[in-house]
Amino acid sequence: MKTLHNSFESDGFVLTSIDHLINLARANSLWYLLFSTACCGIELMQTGGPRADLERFGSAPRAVPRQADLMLVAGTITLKMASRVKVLYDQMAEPRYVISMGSCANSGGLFQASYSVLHGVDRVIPVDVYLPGCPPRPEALLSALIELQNKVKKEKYLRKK
Amino acid sequence: MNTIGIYELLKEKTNVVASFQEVEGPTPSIYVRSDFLLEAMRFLKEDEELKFEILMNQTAFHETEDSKLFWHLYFDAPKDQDESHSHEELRLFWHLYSYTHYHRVVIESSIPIGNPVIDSVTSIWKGADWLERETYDLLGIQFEGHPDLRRIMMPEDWEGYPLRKDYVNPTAYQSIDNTPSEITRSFQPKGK
Repeated sequence: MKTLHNSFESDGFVLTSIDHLINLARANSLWYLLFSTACCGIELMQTGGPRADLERFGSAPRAVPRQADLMLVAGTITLKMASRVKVLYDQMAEPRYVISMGSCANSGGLFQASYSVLHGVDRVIPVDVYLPGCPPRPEALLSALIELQNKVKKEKYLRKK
Repeated sequence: MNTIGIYELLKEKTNVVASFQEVEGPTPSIYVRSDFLLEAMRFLKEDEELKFEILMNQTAFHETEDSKLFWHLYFDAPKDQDESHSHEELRLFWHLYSYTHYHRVVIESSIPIGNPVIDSVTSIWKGADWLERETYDLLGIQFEGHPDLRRIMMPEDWEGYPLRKDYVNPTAYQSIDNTPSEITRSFQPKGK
């Protein structure tokens, strides 16, 4: 079978574009900010655990926003929290991505009639992938991550301003 | 000791204006007029037969014409009612427990919505500190004698008190637009 791995066995070579190569590296090292506000956070932890294992997609949790590429907004965002989410997002280095995980982060969800709940995190920060569910299962979060990887792979990163 | 016994002891040993609320269900309560609150609470904690060392919970709600839960019960005790109280008022509850005698009681009081001031019980139970801050945060009740009466959960610059019945949800906070979407509005009850 012709794979990337055995192409190099006897002085082989690979033809690719630099965009593709960079995007391959970027898409498979989406380090996420360890940040959650509600029960979606429990599913996020489970996704990081051995059964779903986010790290086999190259996603490692980071405790500092400056080291993170991806923000997983897991849970209800209140109006008090919204400004903090904005600060955390602003501290992340570009290029940065956001997955809005669960109904609460998407639209306010179950708690949207409350006086203090933000109607969707996209009112504060730009969102790349919306993931429905209340809360979404680990498999769903993995599929959202793969969706985001596909999006990253389509970017022409070097030609960006 | 049950609630009626506690009530009779309170009436016998102090001159607190109080009435016994015969609510059907597991928690009958003692209504204490707001200006006698501290006297009653101090008695409940220090009396040898009562010894309520623990304030388990302190809460309140906004009672309006529409939401008068047990209003008919208070009509039976007009002498103990402060006449300046309108039907719209803030009703406060204190849940007390005694580790010495293993008994519990619910103390109840009310204050007018126009002048929501009541004595703080932090001088009796230190644990009342955060409970009273929460009540202040959500209902705007001023506790006199509280050491640090600030909002506890809502942001410091929040306007209004969310659990009041006449509270209108804000459509914006700081620079964030929080207007409900079309779908959200379709879920809200009609006639509102």
